[in-house]
Amino acid sequence: MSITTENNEKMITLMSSDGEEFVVEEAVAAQSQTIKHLIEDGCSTEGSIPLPNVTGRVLSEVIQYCKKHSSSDDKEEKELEAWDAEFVKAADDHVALTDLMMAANFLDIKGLLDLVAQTLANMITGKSPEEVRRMWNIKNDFTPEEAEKVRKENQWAFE
Amino acid sequence: MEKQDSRPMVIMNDLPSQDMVEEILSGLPAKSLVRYMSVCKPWRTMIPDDPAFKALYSRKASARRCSYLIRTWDSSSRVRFSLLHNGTPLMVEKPVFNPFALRERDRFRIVGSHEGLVCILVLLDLDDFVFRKPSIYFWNPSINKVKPLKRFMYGGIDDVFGFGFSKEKNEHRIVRLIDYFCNRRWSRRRGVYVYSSRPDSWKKIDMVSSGLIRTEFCCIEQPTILDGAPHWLACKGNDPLFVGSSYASMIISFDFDTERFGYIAIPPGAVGRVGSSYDYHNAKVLGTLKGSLAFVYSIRNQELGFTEPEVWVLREYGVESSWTKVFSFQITMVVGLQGLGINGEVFLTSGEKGKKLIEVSDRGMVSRVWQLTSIVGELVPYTERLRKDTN
Repeated sequence: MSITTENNEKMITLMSSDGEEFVVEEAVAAQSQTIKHLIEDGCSTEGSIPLPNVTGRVLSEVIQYCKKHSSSDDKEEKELEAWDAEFVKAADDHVALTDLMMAANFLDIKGLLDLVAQTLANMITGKSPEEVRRMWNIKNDFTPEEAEKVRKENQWAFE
Repeated sequence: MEKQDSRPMVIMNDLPSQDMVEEILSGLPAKSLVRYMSVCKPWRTMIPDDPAFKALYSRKASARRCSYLIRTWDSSSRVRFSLLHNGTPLMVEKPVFNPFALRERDRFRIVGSHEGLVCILVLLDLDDFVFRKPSIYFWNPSINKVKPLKRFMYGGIDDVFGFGFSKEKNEHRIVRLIDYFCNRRWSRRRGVYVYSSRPDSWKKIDMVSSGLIRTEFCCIEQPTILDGAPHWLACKGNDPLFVGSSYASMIISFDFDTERFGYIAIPPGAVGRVGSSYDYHNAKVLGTLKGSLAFVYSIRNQELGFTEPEVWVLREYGVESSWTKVFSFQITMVVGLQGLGINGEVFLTSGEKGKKLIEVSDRGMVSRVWQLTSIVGELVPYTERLRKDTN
């Protein structure tokens, strides 16, 4: 379903995996290359665009980011940087950030993907391999002998 | 953001795609990256060996995390190295492990930094400040590996050093001018030597065919590396003890492929006006700006109490008439010019004993200030690279 506002902005409706609907300006939604292609292919003319991989909670975050970034062409780069820093700070938990990153990856929003990836990188810098495994449920698939061998190879990284 | 049960259920591994893993890991310092090779087998393979990951890493490292390596020293001559990270959101002075086990009076110098490799000169204090036995190291600070280079038993603190890269031979090299000052004209060791790591050796090159014709100069400060070639700012002067009283007059370069020296005049407005690094009131710095040779100088206005640094860039390499003034700004209370960032930022020191490092953006505005714990010796741009060894 496409609606047009008073300002003649074309609106489109996005539907999250848990059935929540979001009505946003097309220019905002088109920050996502995935949605942009769906619109170009005519998927938005009837009903809403379903986004089966993104929950309503994450989608509302993504929309917040897209709104800011579609309306700030002429704004100072520094201000946008500060806004980005605040934005990821609000999601200071690695689980929330990982969800956001998965959404950015699926929706193909380069700026958001880079921002969240760097935030996660900063978050894990200095952590032990075991802590990193715990963060993302990564299975340690080394045998104790193999693990010891890898550690020896990289002894200097543990100093 | 609250945690809710509605997030997608991932059972074994919460990072489902290879793309995501690469995006996150490419944002890490090389040292953490090496440590995470022991997280799991896929990471063990990807980090050192995946060419796509390496390319992504290099791209991100140069775009976002250009850092500056600084050598600082305190009142008791203790040396430390730190990295100033330039990326968001952190801008901190991060101490780097000092791999050189040295005593307090030993002297250090950063000869240069190029593509993740840093060349360090160490002069051991053997006997009451008589510095002999210079040693040179290749150092990869991000993974903390050091490689001592073949010793050179003579030469000393007034040798001129240049670090750079031979594109033909695809290796880092060092050029060294021994006993080059005129008051040592008698020296039999006087000459130009080039270091190559394959094999670990120094060779003497012919002075005449190298184009080193101007004999009356003293190189001041450590050289800037442009396109693999070291560039020194040089003063005319016939005695190193009086370097402080002579004026910078030219830029001398050394190309590691042709093994020849080159000469470029400094910007016309600076000729006869700027002296050695010891004279902070008319300081000058050589650097690069977006890939071009750049020159900063400032003359202090004693009456009005401010300095007005000017940044010049050589638009067309080797064409002296292409020196262009990019910007200038006024600043009070400046102790010294320290260096030039890769995007035209100017680094200045100020405050008590010069421990405050100020970054001025290319728009002439103060953009960042660091309060350091000690005094800046050298400041060089440093970019991390994934290197398996220190070659």
